[in-house]
Amino acid sequence: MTKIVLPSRCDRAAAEALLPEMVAALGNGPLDIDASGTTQAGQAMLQLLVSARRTADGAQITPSADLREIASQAGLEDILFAGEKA
Amino acid sequence: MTSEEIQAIFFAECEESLAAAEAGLAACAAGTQDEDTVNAIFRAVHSIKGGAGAFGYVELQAYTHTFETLLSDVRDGTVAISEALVSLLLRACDTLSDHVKAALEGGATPDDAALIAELTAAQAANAGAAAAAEEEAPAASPPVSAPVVDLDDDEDPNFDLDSMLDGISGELAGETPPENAPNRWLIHIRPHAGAMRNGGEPLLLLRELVRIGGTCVSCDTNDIPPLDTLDFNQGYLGWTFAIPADVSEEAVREVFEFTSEDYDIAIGADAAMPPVRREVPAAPAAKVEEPSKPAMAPPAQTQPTPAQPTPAQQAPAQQAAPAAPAASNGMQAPPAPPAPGQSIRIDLIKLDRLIDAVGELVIAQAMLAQRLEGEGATATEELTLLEGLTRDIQENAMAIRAQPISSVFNRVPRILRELTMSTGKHVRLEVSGETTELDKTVIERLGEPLTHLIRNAVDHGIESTEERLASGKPAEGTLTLSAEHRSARILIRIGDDGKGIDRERVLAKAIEKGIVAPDAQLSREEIDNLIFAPGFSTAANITSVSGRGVGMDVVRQNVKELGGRISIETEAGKGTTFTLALPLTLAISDGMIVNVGDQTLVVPLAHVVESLRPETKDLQGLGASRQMLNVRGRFIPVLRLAETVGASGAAASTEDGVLIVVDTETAGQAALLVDAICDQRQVVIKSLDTNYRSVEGVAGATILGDGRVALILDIDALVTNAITSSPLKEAA
Repeated sequence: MTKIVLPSRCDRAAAEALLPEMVAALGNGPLDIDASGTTQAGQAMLQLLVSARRTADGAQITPSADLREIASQAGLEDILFAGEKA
Repeated sequence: MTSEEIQAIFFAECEESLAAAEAGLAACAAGTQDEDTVNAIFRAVHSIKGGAGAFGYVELQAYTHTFETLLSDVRDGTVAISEALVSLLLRACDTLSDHVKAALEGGATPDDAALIAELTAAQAANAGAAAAAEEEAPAASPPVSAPVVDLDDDEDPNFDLDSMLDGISGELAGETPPENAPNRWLIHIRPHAGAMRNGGEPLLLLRELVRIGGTCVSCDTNDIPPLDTLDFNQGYLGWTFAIPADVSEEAVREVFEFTSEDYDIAIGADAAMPPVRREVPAAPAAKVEEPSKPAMAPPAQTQPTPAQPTPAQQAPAQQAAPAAPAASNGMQAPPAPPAPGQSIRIDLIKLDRLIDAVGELVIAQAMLAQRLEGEGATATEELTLLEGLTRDIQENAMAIRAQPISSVFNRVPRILRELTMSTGKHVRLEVSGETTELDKTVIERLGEPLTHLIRNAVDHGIESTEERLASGKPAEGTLTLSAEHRSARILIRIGDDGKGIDRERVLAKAIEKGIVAPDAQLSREEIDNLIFAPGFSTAANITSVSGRGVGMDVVRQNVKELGGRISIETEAGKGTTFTLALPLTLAISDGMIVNVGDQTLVVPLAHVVESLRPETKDLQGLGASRQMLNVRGRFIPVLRLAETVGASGAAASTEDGVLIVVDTETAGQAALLVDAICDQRQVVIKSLDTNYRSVEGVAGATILGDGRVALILDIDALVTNAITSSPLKEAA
């Protein structure tokens, strides 16, 4: 299981930087995405996280309260953080 | 373009919007309360709100929302314009300025609770009518069915959701949203790739929807591909939001007002989620080449369907229709920013590079002229042409940096309002020449001295209402601000109709503080100028406004640093006028080129009164080596410039040289002895501080036509130092 830690500010630039890392980790089991320090996130990052959840073995995301709130407002809380692979 | 750069543009636009709002409110206060004026104010505040929302300045956005809501009612005529309302709006504008400053500098946001309460109360005066109108609107507004309209198709930047109701899409939504209740209506939003570019963030707009009461019903994630094919140039997500019935379409439309091109929106429970717009790499280029293409709408999206809307569906479109043209017309109104193509924003650094290059060109042209002169090829036609062209380029380059002084004058009403609150004195402002242009740097540095002068004029100059009435003056004081071009300088006058300077009191205070000797005989002008002495203040009470004696000397210093001069005209009982004479630019100045021994020096022309070759009888000795010059009965000290600057080989006797009479701010007149006057021309000022270090008595340097560096003299410092360090002071 590959662990990927998300930065505090998850903007488009951060999402673009993380994509190759996530692609490289495919095939090693589900991704373990640590977003516990994330305070800001944009659409690009949400798209990336949804895609990660749906790709290969999926991903387990540990969200911060801020990220959970953002996801909730965007209607993605279940898709991103539900126990099962989305 | 980075997010920071876009934010910088936002704040620059905030400044413009604030100026526009302030100007509009000033016009309202002066009696111009037409639709265009109110629209301009509304637009200005609305623009700030839009940017604040996009960049996440929550406090600024919340404040502008309240402000804008009241303005919207004023615009619609539901709140009448009164003197009290204009006063409230002006204060609201001041606080808006503070909010913008806090957002820009990251400081504490101003305490706006009381003001927000006042704004809300002013609006509540007509809340009944407004609420009734809003209640009616939502009843009709949730459309049963609405078309998908690509906002790219709308030529008007203020896209009009109402126009979407003109056609009906046959497509039905694939799902029945759970919140399809009668008291809510649905909106489908699909941000495309462009919405995430240039610092844009769709989630911020969704947050704004939540703020106005919307809730996310669902997020369409069906188009998101696996990681290995994920493309950040695509917007894959689409949202369906339920909006409370009491939130109008207009309120939702405003959320997306500044981003219309990059979002597709469909309204209604039966409308389909707009599809993902696949971006191909060539798309951005095509957009640039064909900016007007969006007018060519894809037929499938805008073609009206044969089915006509029912009267119930048509109603909201018809009701809201007048508002949209009003808004779009407003965008064309004169105070609005110029249309693209008429003006562009340029980074100041680029402009400064241009000015530097022009400076070099001026120097190169002078070098060429000198070289040709050496070759005996003077006065050729080509050289004259080159000189003319060089001057044209230089003037045009300088004109780019020129800004109207209104940007400084526009701040004055606020200063006066604050002074009225703190001093209780009511002051009317009269402004003229606000379109006069001068260099941006001068404009920027002018704010501080101008503020000092205005505060002093109101605090010390203009009497209290009782005093004014007792002396037969109108209760309201008048402050006059004017600007005008005068030869190569700009004259700014700040006048009041107050009590004038009390010379006896000024002199007594100066003697008390040891600024002048008790037996000194001073002219009226000299007494007036004492108020510029450091630490001087005649104020009986030190107030927060003025009276600490740190103002006027700073004013003079600021003006001097700008290469300008300040003078006073005052008449007891009539008022005082300060006149600031400033150079149009700080980059190029007129100078007199003089020779002193082995040195070539530049005397700024602004200081030069006259030049003369003295006769022996006009000179009188003083002490061992000092001399005084009799200029039409008045004796002024003679300064041997060679001694002052340490030049060797200068003319030994006064009769062999030329005397240049110069005027100074602090030390009166003096006569500078030089060997010869070589030329009088424009010189490009090079900063000595930047290129070397600050040198006492030297204002800067320039490069002469022959490539040599010549120092530009700081006449004030030079003369003051020479006089204070010699017995000449007593004699003068």
